[in-house]
Amino acid sequence: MNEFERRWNMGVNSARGAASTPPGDAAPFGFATRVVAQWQAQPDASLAQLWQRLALRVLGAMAIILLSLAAYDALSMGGDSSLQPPVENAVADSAWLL
Amino acid sequence: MPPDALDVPACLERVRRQDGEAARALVEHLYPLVIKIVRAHRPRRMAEEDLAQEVFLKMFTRLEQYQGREGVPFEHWLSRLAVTTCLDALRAEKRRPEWRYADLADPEREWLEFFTGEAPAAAPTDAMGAREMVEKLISLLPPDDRLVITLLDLQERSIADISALTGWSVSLVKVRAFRARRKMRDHALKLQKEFKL
Repeated sequence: MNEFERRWNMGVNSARGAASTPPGDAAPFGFATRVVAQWQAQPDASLAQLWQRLALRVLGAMAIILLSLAAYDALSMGGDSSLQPPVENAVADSAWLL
Repeated sequence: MPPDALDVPACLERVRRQDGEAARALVEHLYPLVIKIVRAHRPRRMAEEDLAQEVFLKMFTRLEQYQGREGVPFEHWLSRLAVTTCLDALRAEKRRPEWRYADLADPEREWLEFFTGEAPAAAPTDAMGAREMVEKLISLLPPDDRLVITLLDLQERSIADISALTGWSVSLVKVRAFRARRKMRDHALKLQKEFKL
């Protein structure tokens, strides 16, 4: 323990003895009613939070999948980068149909 | 019904069925626990009642998350929720206070000199001055450090207890406490330096 820590501990010991008298611990009048009213006024809150949590997780998973695919794609673009006309044609035809 | 006589598990079951009366009883029963945590960790500019209200609203909306945790008393789960809510509020605080040597009262200056080693080894006797100076130095810390020092030094909680409350590992709590004390020493030295200029 260095000198500062030793002195700090003495100060903290003294500070603990001077804890200000806290205001009453009981809930203020109407506090519980107000909180419960707010909670009941937002019935979909848990659903919204569930959606928020799941959306964030899905976003993370999608980012990982996307990066993996990009990496795989970059690695597989080896020496032979020739296009595949049949596949391209099929995609082009499908696009026109849409 | 007196607050201490509340059957919490039974009350929780009723709250899950949207029973408003049970919810009010639960808030009144748990208010002393929550307000104690809020008072110790709230940001300076935030009213303690507002933060307590935020904790209780989170408690109700996340009640389903508690259901699966067998063996953990509800009060522990709520304490952790209250601590993390306070920590989020501290993190959201735009800026931390800045203290100048001129802002300090005489007893605080005596303690500052003592902390920095400028004064003799005998500690000053003014306990209120100690509290003011200790709180000022803690308020200069980043939220995570502030939380650790308040729990560890002012509330005398054990490292394991802090680890359980915050979800941080034991070694992370120790490292944060060590770094926080070093930062406070630097802040104290900086403040003391202003006096010498």
